[in-house]
Amino acid sequence: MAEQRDIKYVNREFGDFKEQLVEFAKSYFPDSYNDFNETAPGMMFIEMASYVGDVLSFYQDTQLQETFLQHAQNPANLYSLAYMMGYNPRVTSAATADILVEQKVQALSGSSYTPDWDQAIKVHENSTIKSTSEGNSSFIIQDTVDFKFSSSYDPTDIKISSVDESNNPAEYILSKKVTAMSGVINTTTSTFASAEKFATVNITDTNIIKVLDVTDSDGKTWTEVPFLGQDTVFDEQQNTSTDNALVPSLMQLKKVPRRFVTRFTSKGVMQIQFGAGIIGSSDDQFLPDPQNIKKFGDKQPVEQIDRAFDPSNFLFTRTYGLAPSNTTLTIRYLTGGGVESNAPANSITEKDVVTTTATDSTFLDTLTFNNEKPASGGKDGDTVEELRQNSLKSFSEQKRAVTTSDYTVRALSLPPQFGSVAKAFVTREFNQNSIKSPLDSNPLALALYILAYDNSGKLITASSSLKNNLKKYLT
Amino acid sequence: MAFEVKKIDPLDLQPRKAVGVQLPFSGKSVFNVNYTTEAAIKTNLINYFLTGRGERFLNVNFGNSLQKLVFDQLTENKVKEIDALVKADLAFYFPRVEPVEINTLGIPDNNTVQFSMRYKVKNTNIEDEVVINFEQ
Repeated sequence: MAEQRDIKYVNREFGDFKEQLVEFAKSYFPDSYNDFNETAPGMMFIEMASYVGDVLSFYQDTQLQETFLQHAQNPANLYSLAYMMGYNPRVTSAATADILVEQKVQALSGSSYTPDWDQAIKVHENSTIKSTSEGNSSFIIQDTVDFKFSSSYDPTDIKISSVDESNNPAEYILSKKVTAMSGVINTTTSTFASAEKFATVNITDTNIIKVLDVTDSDGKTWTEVPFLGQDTVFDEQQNTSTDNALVPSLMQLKKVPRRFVTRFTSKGVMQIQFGAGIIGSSDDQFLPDPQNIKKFGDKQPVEQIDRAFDPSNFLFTRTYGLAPSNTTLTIRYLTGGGVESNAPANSITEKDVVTTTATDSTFLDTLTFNNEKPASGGKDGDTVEELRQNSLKSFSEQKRAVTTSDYTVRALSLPPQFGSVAKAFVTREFNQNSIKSPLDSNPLALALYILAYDNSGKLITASSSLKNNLKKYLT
Repeated sequence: MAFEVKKIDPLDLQPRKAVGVQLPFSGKSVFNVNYTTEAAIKTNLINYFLTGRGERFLNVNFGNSLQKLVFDQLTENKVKEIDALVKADLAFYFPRVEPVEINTLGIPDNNTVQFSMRYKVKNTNIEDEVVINFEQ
């Protein structure tokens, strides 16, 4: 609940204004006005002026109140303050459920019995399944389910389903677990003619969860970033080195000149905003090169101290990403969520739009989906109070690492496809055996010691791929 | 022999000092001002009787309900009611003003009620009359 505080910025009301105006008239106009009786017409004007002052004072107090997150009441202001604090308000929250995906395959006999991997199905990402419970919420499987692929972070369980007369395996059940999110995929398009700086597209729909992807007419993908000034995102690439069993993917920083940010208005409308850069103009034509900025022509650096650089030069470059022009953007976004999407256990079983491929599609019909536990996390949009509290929480987090504990938490939160950090320890005390301590060159340096898990869950020293991934993740 | 002391407001002894704003608001620049307390009291009385209760911003108790009353049936009782109301209002807002005669006269042809009051101000030589025409 908003902190109840009676803000009085000017701390003057009708009576105060009236009193001060009377004093003012007595001091400065002693020869022009002397009748301060309540019935005097002159007092009527003084009271009217006091009334105006009272109203202005009220508005000023209200304005001031609306600038504080703790006291603001207007949802539009709360949304603005939330974004300022680094919190992205939600108009709805999607439920997630762990889905057990199973299929049967025939057993192949050889030196030993193994599943026929040709019959293994690949369920493509964005396949949708439905709940049979009230509301029939749709759930989207965002990751590909490939029964052929098995790793420590995405294992395929194999069980014998049936045996033949000789008690040898006849059929196997392959099972995988995947996370599904409630929602429905919608598509809208937006056409752009000439480039417009910081162009904004409004998506007017109800219960928008998030933008899935944005693609232009040329097939180029536009990437969502937290803020337009961020020009790189983490990219995942397959690890082809020898430690790929432990670290399946390598983390890369990918430059994304085509990027956008999203935000919600207090009415639930999603706004998508693009950058200000224009294709065809090279940045360096009008962006000073930091390598030679200290020297211009034959002038020495010391002569440039009083030279002013126009900050707008930096504004209208690709720094904030490209502005779409002469193209049509196809925007796919997710709607749904809400409390009703928390489907009960064993209810998400109905196939809706499931895209599959298999080398041998004989056992395609044996594909089943089920949630052994109820879906959870579905929630209606932030209430005013939730918005306030989440924003305050977000402000204290600040999405940055400051203390050694912050680095530990960040290291442990590395997504599993980039390797699993089992233990992390951050200290400023470096190994004394090192020839030269990094503290000599950087007094703010920290040492991060980690251990990783192997496939059987035992602690091992981290591979170089994992360490490189972690290094990129921490930057 | 005892005699009644008449008081003169100090403002009346300084002819260049204005007392208040004069009605009507038809000054060449902004307002006309009055220079005597007699004129100021008359102006204030007119201003008071022409202000309905609840008209003033943030001063809702100021004013009277004369305008509503004068257009009721002007029976003997109604006249007494108006008389009592005016006297009560004067006692509160103009404690030094004594009504001498209050008349309420209906002029049906013009849809007008004429309210007149002769009064005097205590301990002074001021005696005057206000006449207000209420039009429906």
